[in-house]
Amino acid sequence: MVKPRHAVLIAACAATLLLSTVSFCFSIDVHEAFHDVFSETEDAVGLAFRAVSEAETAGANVSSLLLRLNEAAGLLSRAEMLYDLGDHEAALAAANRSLTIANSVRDDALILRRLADEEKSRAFQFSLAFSILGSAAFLISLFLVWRWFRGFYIRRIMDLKPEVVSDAEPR
Amino acid sequence: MLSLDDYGAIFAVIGLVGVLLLASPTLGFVLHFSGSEPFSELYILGPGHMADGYPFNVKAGEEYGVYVGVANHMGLSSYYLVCVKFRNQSEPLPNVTEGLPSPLPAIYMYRVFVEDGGSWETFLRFSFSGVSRFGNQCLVESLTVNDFTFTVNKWALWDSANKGFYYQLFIELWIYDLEYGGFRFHNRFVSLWLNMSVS
Repeated sequence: MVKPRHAVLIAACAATLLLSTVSFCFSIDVHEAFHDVFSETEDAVGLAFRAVSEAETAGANVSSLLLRLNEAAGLLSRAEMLYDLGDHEAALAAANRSLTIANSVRDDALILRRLADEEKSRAFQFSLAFSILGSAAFLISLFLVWRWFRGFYIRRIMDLKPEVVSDAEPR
Repeated sequence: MLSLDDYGAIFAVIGLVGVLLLASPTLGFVLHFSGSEPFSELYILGPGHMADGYPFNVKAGEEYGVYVGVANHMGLSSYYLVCVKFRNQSEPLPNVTEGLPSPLPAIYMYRVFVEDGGSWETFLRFSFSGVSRFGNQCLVESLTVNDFTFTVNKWALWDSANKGFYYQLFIELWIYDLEYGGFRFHNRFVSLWLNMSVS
């Protein structure tokens, strides 16, 4: 038979063990949750940067997107340092904010890229039409000038043709 | 006087040059000429924003600061990782010849996006605490960078040639590689020698 004093001791030990287990499980959960969010945010910032680079290559002005990406990147660095220092909640919050910004930047960059591609395509079509029509007009004009010039040249040569004079005196 | 054939050649040249000039806006879309060689700059300036007055003789409890900057000449916007690391004289620096970073962990990191032709700069504040001397060795327990305190527990041996306990705060530059999908060491680093005073 267990004495009441021992029963209290056993109950206290069991409670401590239960609390430790719960606390350990919770810390693993926080740890895993942070790592999941952190790696997802890192990937999201990388993907956002890829989308911004593509928009920039297409000719879009990406200055405002880069400002927002800098905010996301700053939060990501902050999250990593806060986590290392043990402030898990603040780290998770910073990583989540960074993820939201990165995703919104990627969406905006994709729209900007599409617009830049359309603008580039329009500009190319306009340039091509200008080059073809302009070249054709220029070559036709040049040909007409050439024809007129050739006639003018031949007439001038004919005017310079020496004539035989019957009463010329030999030198 | 020029012959008709000579004039014909002049007209042909004028025609060719004119067509090339008129086609140049379209050719601009198709032909891409490579510019100058792309590169990035990493620099460190003293607290007066000049290349002097760098912190050298340091002690626990005092705050020091330097400007750290990155300039982008890569031809496109770049994503940089600026890693602040701390070492004693026996620990390895990055190997620029082989393009390898220092294996030491980063104490503090900045992730920054810089436009082509643009630059980024920040003021890096740092201080030390838990500095103690044991014979000919010095121990620095923690380093605070921009209000974040990190445990470093770094030992340094007395340098009899230079008369001091020497540590080095160095900054590595990494760049995001779009093909690789991650950061790669950009083969650039700057450093600051620190002579730790033990009171």
